[in-house]
Amino acid sequence: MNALETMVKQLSRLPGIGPKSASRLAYHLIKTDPHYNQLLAESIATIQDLIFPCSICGSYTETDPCPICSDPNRDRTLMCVVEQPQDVITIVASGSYNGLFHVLGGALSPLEGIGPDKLDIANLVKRIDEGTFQELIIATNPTEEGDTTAMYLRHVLKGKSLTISRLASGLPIGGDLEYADRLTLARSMRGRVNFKE
Amino acid sequence: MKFRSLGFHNFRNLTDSLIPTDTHHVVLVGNNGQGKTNFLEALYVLCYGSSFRTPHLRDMCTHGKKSFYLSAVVETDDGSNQQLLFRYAQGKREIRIDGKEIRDRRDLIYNIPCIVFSHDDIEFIRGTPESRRRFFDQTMSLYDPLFFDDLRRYRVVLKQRNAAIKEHYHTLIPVYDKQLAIVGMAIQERRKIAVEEFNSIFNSLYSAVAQTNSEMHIMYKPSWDDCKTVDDARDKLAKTLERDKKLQTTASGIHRDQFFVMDGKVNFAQSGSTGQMRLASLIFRIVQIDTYRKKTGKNPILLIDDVLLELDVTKRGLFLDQLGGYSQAFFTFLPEERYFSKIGNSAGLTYSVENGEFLST
Ligand SMILES: [Zn+2]
Repeated sequence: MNALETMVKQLSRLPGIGPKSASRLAYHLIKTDPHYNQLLAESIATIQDLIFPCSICGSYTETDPCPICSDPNRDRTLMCVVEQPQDVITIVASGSYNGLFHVLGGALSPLEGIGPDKLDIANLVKRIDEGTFQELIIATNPTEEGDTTAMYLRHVLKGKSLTISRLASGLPIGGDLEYADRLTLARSMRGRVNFKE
Repeated sequence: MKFRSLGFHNFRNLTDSLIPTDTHHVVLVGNNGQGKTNFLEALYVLCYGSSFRTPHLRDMCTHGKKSFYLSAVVETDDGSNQQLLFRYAQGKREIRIDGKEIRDRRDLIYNIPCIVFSHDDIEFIRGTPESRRRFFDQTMSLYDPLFFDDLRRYRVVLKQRNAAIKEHYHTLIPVYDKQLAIVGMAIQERRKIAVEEFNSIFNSLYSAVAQTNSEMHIMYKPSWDDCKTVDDARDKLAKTLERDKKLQTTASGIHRDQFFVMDGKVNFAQSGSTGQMRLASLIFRIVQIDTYRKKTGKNPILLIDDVLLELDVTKRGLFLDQLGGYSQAFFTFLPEERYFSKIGNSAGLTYSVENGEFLST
């Protein structure tokens, strides 16, 4: 059954899908309502035409510029820098932020071949130079790579008249162990003192 | 904490079974190669997710098999039961505590404190400075999660810095220098304190068991010995960058710290006899247990593998006196070996081990 093998192979390339899940999904698709398969296939085929990165901030959108960049009610003195487009959605959903965004497209990691040239830093600098931003919030992930990226941005933006802060990292997700609190506290205390050049 | 039972499937040479271990002492008696150490290794893997004998999990599969699993019921300090599961299959490990999957090993290593006395411990004394550094890192990580986390961070940043050197991302290096300096100096400071604490009891314990007058201590030589502050360490990294570029690696930092075992002014690795070094390595473990107990107020589980073989009866007694409290201990012995009365007389399980089978005696 070549068609089945091909499908299992393609499905198992998806993140989080192993060969077992892939074959379960494939068998499900064989016996499911054909109309559903039609819808799914169409949505997969068109997703990249319908949703693409905003030419200004890099977050996913169906219109260019995205609704956030073109919203006149958002605070244009505030800019939040994130690693991935999904991070924009998370922060917007939190409802606690009313400024603009900039998506870097990752975090610095020479081990994976990601240097400053692979991230959208040039556009960030350009937007800051041409815009009305007064405050920059760096919301990269609380990982070593996220820290490196934040510190590197801090260095690149040195001398610009702009307040730069690093988003405080909360408790790690699922960190329900006693020491997690102690660790996070100790870490953020240290980070607070050290986030300067 | 106490192991109430241990189960294994396709593990080393052990016959698939479920072995009760619900006593304060468990004694395993058998000839070499029968499976005593494998049993201790299984317990260790359930505590830490890795082995003390091999860095490769696949080495632990029964010959000709590609997967294994281990399970245990553990009595926690509050008297309730905990289910532990470790599965290795298709090159991956899966660890569950009470059914819940543990994704970060940090969430496992503070679950059951266990300390192993292994034959290879003598490398702490006569081995490379790296083996002693590993000993101190392990000792400190056992009671200090922040130290464990700092070490992990340091290693990640170090790898990134080395990659940045190799891939010519030179603008990133000052950032890595700063990250290494911050975490590295925090580690260096705590290593200094740990060595002082170690030295405050090491010699008296050693002298008591060896029945000698010695001046045993650890001499700590940090790679950044001349650095007092984070900025000093940053400067040092910046100044030696050209050398690092030539070497294609970071040649200074706490990953190059050295620890020496000294007897007075003499390097003990050169002056000590094999017997003395074996004894000193046992004392290393005793200090590790003692430190853990003082820092956390808890007693660890001990896995004591064959290491008493080379001690005479008097020293064995003295060693056992220094061991202090433990929540549970597993001992291995050879059949002809006379194990000390203190253990032999107390209520505990004894198994004779033959060809991977465990018979209660
Ligand atoms: Zn946009």
